[in-house]
Amino acid sequence: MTPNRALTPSLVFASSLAVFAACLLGSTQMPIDRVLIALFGGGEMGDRIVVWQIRLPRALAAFATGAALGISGAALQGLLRNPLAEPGVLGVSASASLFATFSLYYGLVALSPWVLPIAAMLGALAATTLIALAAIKTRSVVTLILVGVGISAFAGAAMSLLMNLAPTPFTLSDMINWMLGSVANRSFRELGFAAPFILAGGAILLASRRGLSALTLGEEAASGIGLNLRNQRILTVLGAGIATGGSVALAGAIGFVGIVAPHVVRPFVNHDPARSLIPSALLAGLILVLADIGVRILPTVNELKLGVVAALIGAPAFVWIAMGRRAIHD
Amino acid sequence: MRLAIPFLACLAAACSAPVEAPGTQSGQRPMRIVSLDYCADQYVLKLADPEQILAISPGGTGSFSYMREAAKDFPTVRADAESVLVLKPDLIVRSYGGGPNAEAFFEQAGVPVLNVGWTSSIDGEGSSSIPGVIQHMADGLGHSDRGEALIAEFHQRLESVQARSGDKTALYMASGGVTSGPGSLVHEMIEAAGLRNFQEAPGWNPIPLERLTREQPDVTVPAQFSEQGGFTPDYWSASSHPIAHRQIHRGNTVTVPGSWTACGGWFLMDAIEALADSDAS
Amino acid sequence: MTELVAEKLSVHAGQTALVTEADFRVGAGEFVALIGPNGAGKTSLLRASLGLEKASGGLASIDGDNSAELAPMERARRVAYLPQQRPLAWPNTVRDVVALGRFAYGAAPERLGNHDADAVERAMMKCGLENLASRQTDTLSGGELARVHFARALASEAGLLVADEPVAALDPRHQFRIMNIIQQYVAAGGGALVVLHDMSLAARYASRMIWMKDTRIIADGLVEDTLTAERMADVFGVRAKVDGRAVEIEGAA
Repeated sequence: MTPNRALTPSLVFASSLAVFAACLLGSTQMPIDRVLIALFGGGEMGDRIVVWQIRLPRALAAFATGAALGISGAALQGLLRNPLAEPGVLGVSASASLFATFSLYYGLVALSPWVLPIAAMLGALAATTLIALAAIKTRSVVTLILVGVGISAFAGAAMSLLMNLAPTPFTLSDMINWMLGSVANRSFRELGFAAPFILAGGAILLASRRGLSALTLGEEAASGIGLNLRNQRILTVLGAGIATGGSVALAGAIGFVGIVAPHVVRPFVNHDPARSLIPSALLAGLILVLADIGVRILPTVNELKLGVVAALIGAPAFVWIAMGRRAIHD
Repeated sequence: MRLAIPFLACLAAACSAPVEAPGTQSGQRPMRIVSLDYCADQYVLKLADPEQILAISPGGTGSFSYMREAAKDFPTVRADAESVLVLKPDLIVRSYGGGPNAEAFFEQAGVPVLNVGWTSSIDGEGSSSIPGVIQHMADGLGHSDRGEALIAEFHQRLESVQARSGDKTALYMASGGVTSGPGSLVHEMIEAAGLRNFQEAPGWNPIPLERLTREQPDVTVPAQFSEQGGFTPDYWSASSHPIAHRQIHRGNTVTVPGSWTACGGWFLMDAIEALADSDAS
Repeated sequence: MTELVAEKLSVHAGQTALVTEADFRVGAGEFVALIGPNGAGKTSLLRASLGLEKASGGLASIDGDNSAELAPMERARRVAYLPQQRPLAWPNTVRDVVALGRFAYGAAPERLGNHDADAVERAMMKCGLENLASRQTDTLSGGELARVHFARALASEAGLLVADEPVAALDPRHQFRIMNIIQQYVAAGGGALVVLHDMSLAARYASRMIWMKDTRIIADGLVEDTLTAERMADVFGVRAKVDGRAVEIEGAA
C-alpha cells in the first residue's frame, strides 16, 4: 500500500466530528444548533458554560488521553520492534497510577497541584526505564511482556495496600477509577495540568522518531547506519513516560488502546514506525472519544469505566495480533 | 445407655430453644454488651451504663462516629467471631457488623443479638422511624426510660424546627458526587428542616452539574467525611468539578458532618437544626 | 577513499579473549576476505575495528579518526556495515529499506532530498531491485533480501563496505550476484572487508586474504601467497587441493 496522504487529514476531521458529537451528550437536553452556537462563543451564557465547562473538557480529556497513549504505544513498538508493546501492557500506566495515588492520598498534592502529574510521570518513567533495561538484556518479546505483567501486578497490589493505609480516606469508586480509567467530570483545570506533560512527551517522541525507522534493521545494523542507540532509547523512554504519566494523571490507567491504534495505522504508512506516530495519536484519541460516548449512551445501571470499554476492544485485538504474528527473521 | 436418651433429648431441647435477650426479661439488664459496628456503638454508648459495656467496635472512635468522645473510654474489639466470643458477652448489638450471617451465627453460639434496624423515616409510629429504632434499642439494652426521654427530646426539637419554615431550596452534595431526591433519609432531613429538595429525581443520582449552570439552590449542603474537616470530593466525582466547587463556595453553605447523617440515628436532628438555622438567616 | 586500520587491537569478554593483538589495514580498491573457522573472532574483530564493540587494547581508526570515538552518523558516512544477523522488524517496502541507507545524512524514508533519492535509485539499479521497489520485505526470498541490504549499503555512498557473512544460506546464483555487486563497488573505488566461509568464492573474488585462527591474525596477504594446502589444513583442519586461485576441499584432515 502506498503511503496514504489522506490518512492524517481524515483522522483530524473524524476526531473533530467525534468531539463535537460528544458535546451533544449531557444530563440536560440541548439541540444541535445551540451546541454549535455555544461552541463558537455565541448563544446564552448558560449554554456556553454547559458546553465549554462540562461537555467539551470531558471530550478533550478523552482525546488527549488517547493521543498520549497512541503515540507512546507507537513509539514503544518502534523502539522494542514489537507490535504488542504499549504502556498498559508493559505496566507503565499501572506504575504511573501507583505513584499518582500515593501522592494524592498521602497528602503530597497539598504542596502543589503539579505534584500529581509529576508523580504520575515519575511512576511512568520508572516503569519505562525498567522495560528498556530488560529489553537490552533479552531479545524475547514474551519476556518483556511478562516483565510488564509483573510490573502491573505489583503496582496494582501496592496501590491497594497503600490506599488502605493512607491517612486520607479514599473510596472504592476512586480506586477503581485509577485502575480502570475514567474521564468523568474532567474540567479544563485537570486538563491544564496534564496537557503540558502530554504535549512535552509527544514532542520528544516526534523529535526522535527518525531513529525508530532505523531500528527496523535491528539494533546492530541501526548503529551501523548512524543511530546513537543509547540516545534513542533514552529519548523514547523519556517521551513515552512523560506522555503516559500525563494521561494517567488525567484519566487513570487505560490500557490496550495504544496497541490497537498503531496496528491499524501501520499498513497505511508502509509500516514505518516514524510515520505511524501522529496517525496513531489521532486514531487512539478518536477511539477513546467514541468509547466515552459509548460509556454514556449504553443503558447500564452504573456508568461503565472508560478503561473497560478500551479493554473490551483492545484485549481481543492484543490476542489476535499475538497469535497471528509471523516472526520476521526474529 | 438408659440415661443417654433423656440426656440427649434435653440437650436437643436446649439447643433448639430460642435464645432470649436478657433485656427483654423483666428487670434483667445485659451486663456484658459487645457492639460490632459504629452504628451500634452510638446506641450502646448513649443508652447503656458504662458498666454494662464490655467492648465496642474500632469505628466508635472514628471521626464519623457521633459519640466518639464517649467511645474513648472503652476497649474495642474487631467484629470477628473468635475475638467476640472469647469475651463471653451476654448481648451482641449490631447493624451491619460481623457480616450478613452474624445474627444466625451468634444465636447459634448461644448469645442473643440486638439488631439496630433500618431507619427509613424521621418520625412516625413505625419501627423504622427514628423514634421507633430508639425505643427498640433502649428496650433491648434494658433502659426503656432513657429511650423515652431521648424520643421526647427529639420530638420537642423537631417541633421547634417545624415552627419556623420557609420556601428555600437545598441541594445535598456527597463527596462521591451524588445527591438524593425523594426516597432517602437525606431527602426527609431537608424537608424536616423546612426546605425544598433542589433535586427532584428520586433516589441517588449524580449531582446535576448542567442544571446548576442555569439555576442554583438557595442552600448548598456538602457532606463532610474527612478528619480534617472540609469537603473532600473524590478525584473523579462531580463534586470536584469547578461548577460544584463554585456552588459550594458561592454563598449559603451548610456543611453537615458525616457523623450526623450516618446510621439514621437521633443525631440527624443536629443536621436538621443546622439546615433550619441557615434558612432563617 | 576510506581506510580502516587496526593496530594491536584486542577484545575481551570478561576473562576470555575474543581477539588478540590484531593488525590490519583495508583501503580503497581492495577486496579483502576475512577467513577463519567459527569462533576465531572474526565478528568481534569487525565490530571492534568499527567501534561498535569495546576494545580491551590497541587502537582502531577510520581515516585516521579513532573508531570508538567517532559519532555514529560520521562513522555511517564513511563505512557501510552489514552485520551477520539482519532481522527486519516490520514488512516495509524495499525502497524504504534502501532509503535507510541515507539515514546518516538526515534523511528519512518519506523525506528524501534530491541527492538522497538519486543515491537510492542508483543503488537499487546496481542491485537489480527496480522491479521490487514497492514489494514488502516479508514477501522476498533470501537472495532478494540480501540484495536489498546491499542496496542499502550502497545507497549510503560510504567509501568502505564491511560485511559479515553476506552470502551465507544463499543459493549459488545469488551468491555470485552479491559477489559481483561487491566487485563492482571495489572497482569503482570502494574498499571492502568481507567475512566469507566459502573458500572458492573468496579465492575467486578477493584481492587479499586475512586469515584468523584462535583470536589471532595468522596471515595477511595476496590470495596466491596465503592460500596454500598447508594453511587450509592448519586453519580449517581439512585436506585441500590448491592451484593458484582454485581450491578444492577433499575431506577432513
